[in-house]
Amino acid sequence: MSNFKKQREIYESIEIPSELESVIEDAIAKASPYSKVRRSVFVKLVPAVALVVLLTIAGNERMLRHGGPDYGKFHEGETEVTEESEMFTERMSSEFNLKRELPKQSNVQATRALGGAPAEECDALLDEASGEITEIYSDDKIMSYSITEFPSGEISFYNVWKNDGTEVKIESLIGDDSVYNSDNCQFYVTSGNTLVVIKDGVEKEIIYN
Amino acid sequence: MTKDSMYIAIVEYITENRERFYRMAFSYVKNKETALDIVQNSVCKALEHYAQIKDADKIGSWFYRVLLNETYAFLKKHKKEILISDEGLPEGIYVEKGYDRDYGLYKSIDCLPEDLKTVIILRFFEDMSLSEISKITNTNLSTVKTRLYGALKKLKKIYGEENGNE
Repeated sequence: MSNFKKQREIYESIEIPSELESVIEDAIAKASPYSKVRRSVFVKLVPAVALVVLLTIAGNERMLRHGGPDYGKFHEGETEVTEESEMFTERMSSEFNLKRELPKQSNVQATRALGGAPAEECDALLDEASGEITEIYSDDKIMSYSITEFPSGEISFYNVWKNDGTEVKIESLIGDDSVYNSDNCQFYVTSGNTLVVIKDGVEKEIIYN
Repeated sequence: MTKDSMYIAIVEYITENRERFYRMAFSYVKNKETALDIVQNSVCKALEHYAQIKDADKIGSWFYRVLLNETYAFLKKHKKEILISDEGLPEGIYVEKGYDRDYGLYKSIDCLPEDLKTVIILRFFEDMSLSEISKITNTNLSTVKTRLYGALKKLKKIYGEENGNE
């Protein structure tokens, strides 16, 4: 049993799909930091877009059968533009603009606000994070953490861990309901602002604001 | 090695070994689409974080680690959805007649816990040394040895039980 020759033949007979080459090429093309679209996202997106297109076509056909839409038509008793409606429109647009103009909190500010390690320290430690990190997580050795939300909606999770007196830093970019693997740990965000960290099968939940 | 040449070296390594990565992912998830997703995500993540790697000799073990982490994360997330059929063969595996017995042992590997299964695959199917496995799995050499011994012992037990303790 120890040489597994036959089993290796079975393993090597796993059929290689013709798409593999293009999948790898796509991944290499998409690996640019400016493009975060994953195949899985694309696969999910295509049916959704197709559904929207189909529904739009179906809706248009239905409207045509029923004499077309009546947008812009005024029914008996309605006035064209009232003072009230104008005021409402103005109020809504100013509120909308105000919301859009709200300044985004910078990563550095957010990191500090959440009580994590100072931003400079994070950056310095981030550089040290390259290479091999071993045994960086255990339940009782978490020193500090911070979570920063980027305008794009991505969440960057910076974590400073202490292991036997040594500080190490890991970085991951995670989106809601997605999983990121660092060298040693896995993280995912669940609903309810909970970050789950998994190391060697041990899970720890961190609730953030 | 400059950053650019390291990036090129990683891309070349991935392109040359893509079939191995697919087989590895497939052997865990038993589904073509999922295995392709895992490989693609691993490539994206590896290339996004390529600056972490300083030594070209470590590209192999580093990428395998990314791939394994991605696979484990998928398995963790979809544990209940992955059903390995007891009947027939997983999609994409061709087995000749007379291989039933060998296939029985191959199938027994799927019954092993992930860490033990990984050691078996890397050691016997991917031809890796114990020290390479220890780098990929981020464990020390003695742990790898223990896992390998434990995996073989367990396989013997599982396979023996399935075949009436032959």
